[in-house]
Amino acid sequence: MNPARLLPWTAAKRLAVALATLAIVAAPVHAQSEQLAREVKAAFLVKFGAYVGWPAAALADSAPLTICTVGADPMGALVDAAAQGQSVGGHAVQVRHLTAITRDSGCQIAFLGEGIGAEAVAGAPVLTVTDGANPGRRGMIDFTLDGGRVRFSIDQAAAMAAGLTISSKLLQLATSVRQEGH
Amino acid sequence: MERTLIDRWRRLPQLAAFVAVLLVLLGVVAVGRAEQDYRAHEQSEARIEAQIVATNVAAALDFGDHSAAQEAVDALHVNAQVRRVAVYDAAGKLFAGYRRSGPTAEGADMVVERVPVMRTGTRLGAVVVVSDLEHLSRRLLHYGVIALLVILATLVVAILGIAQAALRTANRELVEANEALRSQIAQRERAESQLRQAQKMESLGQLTGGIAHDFNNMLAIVIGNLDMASRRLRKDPDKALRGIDHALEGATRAAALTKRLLAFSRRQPLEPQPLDANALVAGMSELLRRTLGEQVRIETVLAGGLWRTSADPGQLENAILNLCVNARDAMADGGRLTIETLNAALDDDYAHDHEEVNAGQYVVIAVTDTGDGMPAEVRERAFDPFFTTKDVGKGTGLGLSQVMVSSASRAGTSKSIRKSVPARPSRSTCRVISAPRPPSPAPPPPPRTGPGRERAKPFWSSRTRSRCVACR
Repeated sequence: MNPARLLPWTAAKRLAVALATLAIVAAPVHAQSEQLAREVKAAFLVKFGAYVGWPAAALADSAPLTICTVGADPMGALVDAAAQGQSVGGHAVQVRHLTAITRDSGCQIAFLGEGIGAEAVAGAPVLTVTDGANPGRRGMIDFTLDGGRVRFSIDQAAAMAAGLTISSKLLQLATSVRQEGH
Repeated sequence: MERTLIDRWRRLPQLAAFVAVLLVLLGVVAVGRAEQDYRAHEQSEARIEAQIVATNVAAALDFGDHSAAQEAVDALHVNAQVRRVAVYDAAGKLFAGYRRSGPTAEGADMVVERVPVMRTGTRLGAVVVVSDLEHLSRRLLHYGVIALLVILATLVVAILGIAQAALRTANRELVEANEALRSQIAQRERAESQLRQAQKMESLGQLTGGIAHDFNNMLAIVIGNLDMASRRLRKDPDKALRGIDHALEGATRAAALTKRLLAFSRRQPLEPQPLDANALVAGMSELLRRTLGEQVRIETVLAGGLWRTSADPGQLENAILNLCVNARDAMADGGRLTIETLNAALDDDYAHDHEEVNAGQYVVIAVTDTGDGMPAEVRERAFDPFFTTKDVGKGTGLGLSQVMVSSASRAGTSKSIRKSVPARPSRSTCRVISAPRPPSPAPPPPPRTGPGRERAKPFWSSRTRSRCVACR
């Protein structure tokens, strides 16, 4: 069966042109909204610090709040841009880019890139953040997209286990909150 | 004392007006303060609400969560006074909010509160709350209570002031009236005193004239007879002797007149002694017949078993003689004179009805004539000393007053004597002298006190009382 016979050449050619055009036009649009979402996530990453409490041992007074991106960082310099000149509750915000994280990395907030597990810092006072991870691999905060808007779910039980307190204000904004026993 | 009290409260009306104005001012200030407080309260309430919203929307604003911010804002819906709530982001763009229906313009009856939304030192945006005030009429209703109290207090103060002013006016009038009355009384007292003085002088004139005339007559008899006797002493000793007798008689009459005057002025000592009134009257009948003349028929009605009484016989005779002479003078064309004696026991009921009389046993000597009686104006003064209706020289004006003095035992007696005189001229006039029967064991005399007693000492005895009682 010859497909050329089924479709007139001109029609097929026109479809192909249209698809090609769509692909050319749609690709930048998608890329544009993804870029925006990444910027929002980077901004959120910096803002979380204001709504989370660390034990005094993990974050001394006047010590800088360290945000670490771990693994193949999809945000790249976006976090640096968001954290530029920011301070949270008297702590200056600094950003470090790591390939791997340990308990001694000195991170208060860790954005775990694709394929990076939270096991290394399990039980340590580090707020782990993931982006659309599988349920088994999610950090304490996990970004989702809800109708084009960046939102997040919170695993309060894990945060509590790590000795972190998450503000109710932040909990109110979460799409879902996993609490102890649930 | 009263004046000083009034003086002390003299400024009360002005004070009341001042207080009333002050009260009104206080009321206005109180309402102003209440209004101010209410606005401040509403303002602070709006601020608190805005702050709550600012706190609640901070995270939502931070993370750009419109629906969460709207939820926080919608919580204010329960407060009906909140007209508009708006949450602005840091750029001043409306982030969330709502607006109730109604006027959109923010007027005087609204409070507007704007607070920033902060996140640990970072300004995230602002919350604006526009809240309605209660309607003015409702607020005024609340202030109405204050106004009512102020009006009440002002009214009370005003009434107090007006009353005081009225009282002052009334008091001033009263004081003036009182002063006028006092001056009138003083004038009247002066006039009365002048009148009394004039009457006294008139009486003295009458007395002097009467006595001088009587004495002149008697002296004329004495002098004439003595003159005649001295001329006839040699030729006709008998006639001279008769003249001397006549002169002596005239001198005796002059002495009697003196005696009466002395008795009137009570210089003559009283000599009360037990006596039989019947015997006294019987003994006088010859004297009276000669004194009163042919034209007057004298009848004596003497009671059998008459009680003995105690009195000065001379004065009692004098009193009877006075009454009889008056009776004769009242019967110029002649008539009948009746002297009656009787026993009288006046019981308590009678004494109660006639307060001028004390209950007890009395011997009554009544002198009745068939004359014309006395007109009212004469009756009024019949017993006044020196008052007489007779021509100058014919009477002394002392007869009835002597009777009164000698018979009165208390002030009321003179009244009883006046009563004894008929109110209208009548054919018969009756006068009664009564002397109380002396009790066998003399009881102590009742105490005599009070004004008028001095004048009214008993004549016959200090222990027995005499009476003139009414009769017609």
